[in-house]
Order: sequence, then structure tokens, then C-alpha cells
Amino acid sequence: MRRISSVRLFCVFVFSFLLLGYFCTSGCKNPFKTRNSPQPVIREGTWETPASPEIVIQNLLHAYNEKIIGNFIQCLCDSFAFSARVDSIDAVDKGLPELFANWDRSVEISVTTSIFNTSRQNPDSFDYVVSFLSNHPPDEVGDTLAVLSRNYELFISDSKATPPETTFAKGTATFYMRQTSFSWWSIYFWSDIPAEAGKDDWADFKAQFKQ
Amino acid sequence: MDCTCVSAKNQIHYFLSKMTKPVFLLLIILSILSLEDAFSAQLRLDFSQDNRTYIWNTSLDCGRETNPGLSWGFSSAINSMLIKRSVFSANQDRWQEDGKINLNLDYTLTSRLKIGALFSQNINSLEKRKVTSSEYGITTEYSISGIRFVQIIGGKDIDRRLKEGKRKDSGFNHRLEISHSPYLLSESVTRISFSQTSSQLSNIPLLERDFSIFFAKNFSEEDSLEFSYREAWSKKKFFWGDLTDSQINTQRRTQRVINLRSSTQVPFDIRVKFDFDLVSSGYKYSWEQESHSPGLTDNFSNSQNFILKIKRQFFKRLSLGSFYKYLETDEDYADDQKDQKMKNGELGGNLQVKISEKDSLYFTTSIGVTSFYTPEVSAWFNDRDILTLFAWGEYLHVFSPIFSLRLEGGFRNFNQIYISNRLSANNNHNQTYVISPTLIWRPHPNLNFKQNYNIQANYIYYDYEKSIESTKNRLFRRASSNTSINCLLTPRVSFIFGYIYKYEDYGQLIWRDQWVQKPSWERRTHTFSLSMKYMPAKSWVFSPEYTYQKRRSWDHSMIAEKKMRTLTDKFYRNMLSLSCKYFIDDRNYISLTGARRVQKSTLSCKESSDFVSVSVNRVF
Repeated sequence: MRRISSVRLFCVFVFSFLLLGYFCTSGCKNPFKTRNSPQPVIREGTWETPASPEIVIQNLLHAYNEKIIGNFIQCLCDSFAFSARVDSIDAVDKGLPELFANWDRSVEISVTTSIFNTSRQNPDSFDYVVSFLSNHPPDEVGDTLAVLSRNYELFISDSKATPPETTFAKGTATFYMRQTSFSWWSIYFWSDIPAEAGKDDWADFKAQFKQ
Repeated sequence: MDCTCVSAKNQIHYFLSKMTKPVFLLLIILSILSLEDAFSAQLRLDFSQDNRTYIWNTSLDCGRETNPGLSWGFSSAINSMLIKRSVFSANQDRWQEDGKINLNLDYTLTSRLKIGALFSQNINSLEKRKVTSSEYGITTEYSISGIRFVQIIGGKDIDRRLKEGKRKDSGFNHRLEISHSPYLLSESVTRISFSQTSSQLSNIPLLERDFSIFFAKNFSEEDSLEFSYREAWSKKKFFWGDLTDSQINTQRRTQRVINLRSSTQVPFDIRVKFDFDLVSSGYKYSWEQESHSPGLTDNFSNSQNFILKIKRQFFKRLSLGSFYKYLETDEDYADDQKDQKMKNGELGGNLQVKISEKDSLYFTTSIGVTSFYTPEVSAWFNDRDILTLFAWGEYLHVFSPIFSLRLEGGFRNFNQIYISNRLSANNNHNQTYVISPTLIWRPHPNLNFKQNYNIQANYIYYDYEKSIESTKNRLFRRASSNTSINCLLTPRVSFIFGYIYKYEDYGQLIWRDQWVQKPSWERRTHTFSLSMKYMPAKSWVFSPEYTYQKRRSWDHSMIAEKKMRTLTDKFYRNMLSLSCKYFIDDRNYISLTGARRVQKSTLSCKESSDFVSVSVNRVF
């Protein structure tokens, strides 16, 4: 065996000591133990195996309306990105050019968690419903890649605003999906355009919750 | 009829007027390029059409350093998008253009002092809405005793022309950068930098400060240490609401980041790596009016994560590794009930072994739990644990230099547990099993056969509905056979033939001492493809490809205790594509791709789609 110098041994010892100190003070997480949960009192939540691209966007729609973040997260790929190219001009105009930039999976989860929480905590004052319209461009579904566009309507009511506001956002959401071994179909790119330039769309609604 | 002609003429005029600007710009640029002494440049032109969406991307970068000490650089990028009027809506065609131009000029006065000028312009336009921002300034760069000072003094203009009206902002712009790379220890790098940017715009001023320290040292071949610290602060104003009724609000942002990367070799030849990150950030908002967005509230977040890895090699045949990952985040929304804490712990390992000259094995596994903790009100719907168990293995056996077998298989369990009784009905196990053998046979250097089989199954069962016949418990299965034959006829002509057969079924999962499936539907797909690669000359490649797909779907039902299988859909797809490429090398080429796809289903009418893309890349 190669001889190890005393200086290196000392460094390794100090390093291990600091590491141990950090573990003790900061704490770790047991990777095997989960908490218990009580019997359900109500049954809500709709989610299916994303065996086809159509099921993914149905899962996303249900997760959005039922406000269940766990189900929403399962619709997204690790390399997810969101784009609102048409809305970006409004962001530049407002002095927030970075508003839609670098909108990745973590931003999407943070924004959506904030939307769900705000609505769940204020059910009497803030709520929304999103629905996909039946008329939409033809789906492009390949073996591992798919592109589905859906025209949507988003109805938002905010009675805490002065005066109380109801917003009706319309646009087209295009979902680019890929199929992987364990995650089946999931969305890797979501682009959104408003039905009319300058009018509210889903991206504007989401952007209100981006910190 | 006249009306149609006028409309068509207007449209052509609109197209031409939109295209004139980039073409005119390109001509100016090319005229600069054609001057003697002009230098290194890269030009890229891309066009793609996908049904109703047309996209043009153009970029040009060039620069030159001339004697004595004079240098200039130019870069531009223009992205245009046209969305043609949809048959589903009464909207007009939508044009959008984003462009940016940067021009800089530098002159070295002495070895320590450099002066220069810069100009940049960003244009964002959408139909009749246009936002133009310009920045210009004089730069000074001075170095003394290893300390570098860079200062930019200039101005900034933002011009907004929207349908609702106009809005202009202009003001003084100043940027200061100080950086120093002191020599502290041998085999080490140290950098300290500070920067401040100030834009004194009349309506929405901006002030940013950034400070960072970086240190890296290699103690020996095995031991290294890297440390960085960054602190950033900014205060900016921004508009909110419509142009006609907008308010100006203020955002204050603070951020602190610490990163540590270390690596060492401990006794018994065990290699240890430890990475640590600490990030802290805060956003504070002040509003002109009480009414504002429900989403934007003061918030602070802290996160820390570390990963500890150990690795050991045995006899140059076996490599064994293990890791532990920890991540913790804490989000605080001041007076809001949206606070959330998250803790994640993951333990994993991998094994790589060369059993013999013909056999090798790779195996990786991990188990982890992510817990979300929320305040009392949010806990009704956000407190949850997620347990993920993952395992993946690959085994390779080489029968002979021309024949080999690769066997892959894996398992993933995703267990979601909501802690509140309002959502615990969603607690479920989502398990996926995969096995996939592949045979590769190369009977001749110009002939290659590949046969792959793939079997997958996904079980989803809900924790509180396992004992009842719940429709939420489901099984999805998929099996496929993928055959490909690659034949090189001559050095310039090759063919690839492919055939994929895929079977899928889906149904309810019922617990009868073990899981049994009650099928709901099944689907069988056949896909044939034939492609050719033809090189008529050294720099030309033609690649035509034809694909045919046939898919049939059946529904399963029980009628009078008799199993019924009904054909519900027949789907056919034909796709023909042609790709042509002329290339000098990897950086200089022109490529053209076109495809036509026609598909028909008993559930929908015949659809045809066209796709076109053109790319030009030229390095001067």
C-alpha cells in the first residue's frame, strides 16, 4: 500500500471532523422512513398512467383544477421549460425582461404551488377554472415525441381586488412531450400564446405568481 | 374579388416590409465583411415551417484585432416568427420579431489603459406593438498591480409604442467593475470581484451590486478544494397593469450563495468527494396602491444541499461507489400562509464490474424520501412524503466479435403519501418494471442487424383502496419488438430498414391475493420505415425516408358474463421526408429538409401536414 503523508492524514482528519460536525448540527434525512397518514375523509384527485400524450394533458388539467401539486409535478419532465414568447414583449415593456426567461421545472413548480396555495387558502375570494376547448389543431404523435396544441379558456375571479376582478383568459397552449422508460409520457416544453395579442392568457396568470 | 386582391397585396406588402429590415441589415453587415482586412465571422441562417408557424433565425458574429491595439466586435441576432391565421379562430396573422445588435470598439492606449465605445440595441415587436431599448457608452479599462478597473459611462433609452399609447424612458447609465486575482498559494487560483450597475431611468431606475470571491487549489493529483462566495443586491422599479392605468412598483432583491467542492483520497485507496451549496435569497415589494397581484408577496428562501460520494476500485475490474444526498429548503412568505419546508435524503450506490473479457455488468440503485412540511392551514393539502426507490442494471455478453447480447432491466417505485386526511385518498404506489434484451449481429462489415425487445408494466394502486375493487387501481402494460437492418451497399450508398411492433393494454387492477388485470382496452401498432443515405459527391448527402404506420385499437367489455373485444379505431400514417445537405466541414454547410405526412383514422378525418426547414452556417 502507498504510504500516506502525515500532513494528508491530518487534513483528512480535520475534513472528517468538520463533516461530522456539520452532519450533527445541520441534521440529515432518513431516506427510508415516511410519515403515517390517516384514513381519507373525502375522495378527490384524478390521475391516470400517462400511457398516451392525451392522458398527460388531461392529468395536467385535473391537477390544475383540483389544485393537487403532486399530480401536477408528475406531468413534467426533468428538463421542462416554459415559454411565452408573445407575452415576453409585455414583460420587456414593464421593465421585467427576465420575467419569462429561464422558466424551468423548478420555477414552474414554485409558481404553480403558489397558485394552488393561494386558491386553496382563499376559496371564497380567489379561484379559477381552466378548460380545454374541443376544437384544436391536429395532434402530432410519434413513437417517442408528440406535440399537442389545445385552445383553452381560463376564468379567474379575485374578489379581494379593489374593485373585485374577474378575468377571462384565452389562448393556445402547445405541449411538447417525450416518452421515457419510467415516466411514460411527460411534458418537456410548454409554449403559450394568447388568443389575441395584448390580451390575458395563461402565461400572464402564471407570471403574477413568479417571485 | 377586388377586395381579395387588395387584401392579398396588403399581405404581400406587409411580408416584404417585415422582411426588408433584416435583409437590409444583412447587406450592410456583408458590405462591412467584404472590406479588406475583415477577419473572422460566423453567419447562421435558419428557416423552418411547421403547419401555420414560420420561423426565421439569423445571427452574425464577427470581430477583428488590428495593429496597433485596435479591435472591434459586432454581433447580431434576429428572430422572426409568423403564425398564420388559424382556421379555428378569427384572428389575423401574427408577426413577432426580436432582435439585438451589439457593437464594441476598443483601443489600447498603453499596456495598462484601454478605452473604447459600445452600442447595443434590442428590439421586440409584435404586430403594432414595439419596444426598443438602446444602450451606449464609453468604456475605460485600467489595470494596476493586478487590479482591473472597468468603467462604462453612457445612456439608456427605452421606447415603447403599444396600441394603447406611447411610453418613453431615458437616463444615465453607469457600470463599474473591479476585479483582482492575487497570487496566494502555488497551484491555486483566487479571484475577487465587485460590480455595480446603475440605470437612472426617469420612471423605472435600476441599481445592482454584486460581490464575489473564488478560490481553487489542487493540493495533489488526488486532493482539490474549490470555494466560492457571492453576494448580490438589487433595487429596481417596474410597471404593473395596463399602459393606460399602470402603477410603478419597487422590488428589492438580496442573494447570498456559498459553494464548496472538495475531493480527497483517504486510506485504503478510497476516493471521497464532498460538495456543499448554501443559497439564501429574499424579495421585498413595495406598491404604489394597496391593490396588487395576489401572487407577488415578500418572500425569503434558504436552501442547503450536500452530496457525499465515496468510490473504490478493486483490481482494475471492479468499481464500487456510493453516495448520500441531502437537500433542505425553507420558503418564508412573511405574513402569508404559503410557507413551506422541504427535506430530502437519498442514499444510493453503483457497481461496475468486468467479469471476464466477454462479460460486463453495471448496476445502480437509490432510495430517497422527500418530505414537505407546511403551516397549519396549508397542511390540509400540502404536507406530504414522497418515497422513490430506483434500480437499474445492464449486462453485456460478447459471444464473438460479430455477435453480442445486452440485457437491461429496471424497477422504480414512486410512493406518494399525503399526511392530511383531506388528500390521503391520493396516497398511492406507482411501480414500473422494465426488461429489455438487445441482440446485435454483424455478419459482414457492411451489414448490421439489431433486434431489441422491450417489456414494461406500470402498476398503480391506491393505499386506501387496495382491498376494494377500485377503478383507480390500474395496470398498463407495453411490449415491443424493434428490428433494424443497416446495409452499406457502397461507400456512398447505405440503407436502413426498420420494423417496430408494439402491443399495449390497459385495465383495472384487482387484488385477489395477488394483482390481476381486468382489461379495458388494447392497442397494436406496426411501423415500417426505409431510409437511404446517398452521397453523389464528397460534399453532398441526400437522405430520403419513408415511414408507414398502422394502428388498431380494441375495447374490452363484459356483456352477459361474456368477454367482448370490439374494434374501435383503425389508424394509418404515411410519411415521406427528404433531406439534402451540402457541407464543406462541420461549421460550413447548407441543409434542406422537407416532409409530408398524411394520416387517417376511423375516429377523425384525413389530415395532411408539411414541414420544411433550411439551415445555413458559414464561418469566414
